[in-house]
Amino acid sequence: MKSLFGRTQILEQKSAEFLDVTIEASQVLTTGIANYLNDNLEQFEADFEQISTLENRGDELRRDIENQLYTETLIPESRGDVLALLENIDNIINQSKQILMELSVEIPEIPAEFHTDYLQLAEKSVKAVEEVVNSTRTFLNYPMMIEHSLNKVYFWESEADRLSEALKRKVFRTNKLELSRKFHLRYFALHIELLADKAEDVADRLAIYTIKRSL
Amino acid sequence: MPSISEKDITLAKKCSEFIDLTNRVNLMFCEAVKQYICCQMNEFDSYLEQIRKLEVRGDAIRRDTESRLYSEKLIPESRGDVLGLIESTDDIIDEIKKTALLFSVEIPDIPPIFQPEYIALAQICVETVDFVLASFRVYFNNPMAVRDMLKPVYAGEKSADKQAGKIKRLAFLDENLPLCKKMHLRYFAHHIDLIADKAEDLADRLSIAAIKQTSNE
Repeated sequence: MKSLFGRTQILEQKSAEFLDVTIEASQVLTTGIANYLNDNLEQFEADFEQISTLENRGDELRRDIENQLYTETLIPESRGDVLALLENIDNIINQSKQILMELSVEIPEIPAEFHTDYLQLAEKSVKAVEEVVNSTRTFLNYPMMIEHSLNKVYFWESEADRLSEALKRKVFRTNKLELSRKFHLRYFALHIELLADKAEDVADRLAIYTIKRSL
Repeated sequence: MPSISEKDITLAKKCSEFIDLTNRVNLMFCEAVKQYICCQMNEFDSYLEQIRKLEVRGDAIRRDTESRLYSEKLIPESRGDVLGLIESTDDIIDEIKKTALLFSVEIPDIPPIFQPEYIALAQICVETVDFVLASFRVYFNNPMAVRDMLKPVYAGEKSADKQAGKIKRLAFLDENLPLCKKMHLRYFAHHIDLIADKAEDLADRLSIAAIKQTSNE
């Protein structure tokens, strides 16, 4: 089966850049969370600044690709799918930025005993993102070869779910914290876990598009 | 290619009625927030009641328009787009109703220092919705003009994000507020801000629908 973009090379380049932005945003997220937990707040704010710039760039690229798809009537048979795919990937970038923004705004006090749990949760969620970006690259170029990669996305998403649940249980079972602080800690676990859910949403769409293209 | 209005005037009128209704809900929301903040609870409740009724009426218009689109096989080349636009508009109404209802149910205690900030946020969101509704109206007659009209929607959404961020920062930096109140204030800023996000979603759909419409011309 042919590449989805056929000979529309500029579109291919822009989409590749959009995926690079997604990966970069997830890497900045990991660094940002680590800096926050280690109290490197100056560096953390720089990470937040960087992820905001990446998110803006992602929006620009997405709208640019979408407009080009329709104004130049490119890949008419698949453009609806590409459009929805880009919008779902954009949700991953938005979520990455959202997490750092919430840390920056709400300055949650995270007790040291939970630091490793948050870091591991972020690591698993970011792995789901990295894998779904790999799947998307594969889909755009060799649509029939993504099954293996999609399987990994689902694995990392379930790992993120598992760690998030364990973290929330740990938080709610400690008797050293007020209920409002437990809620606050749960909120951040939930939002980091949501990143993996967004990656799973993209994987679900990719799975459907692959079936559609094989018919 | 003729515009959607020229092809089916009744459909365009139905959509226009739906846009009018959304516009009224939008304007009422801003007034409702102001009344809530001024502790005019009777006035606030009256706006909430009207918003609820309009939301029900909006659902009826939406379903009627959608079923006409398909049962009478109207504008087959654009009906998917029109359907998506109507649903995204309905999401704005739903979000407004939900936010007004949250005020009514949870009765958040908004300290005076935050009050003008919430009013400002509501006004930005209402303006953003207003811009996108104006663009939606134009889509039926002059889709070529839509793209330029959407620029203030995107600017409005960014501005709403900024204002909501300002409120959240103010709340979390305030040492006199307990954490539970900070979270409550954040929750309301987030929900008002979501209205502008829904306007942006509609703008994204409109942008593509307008390009498709003009490229068919």
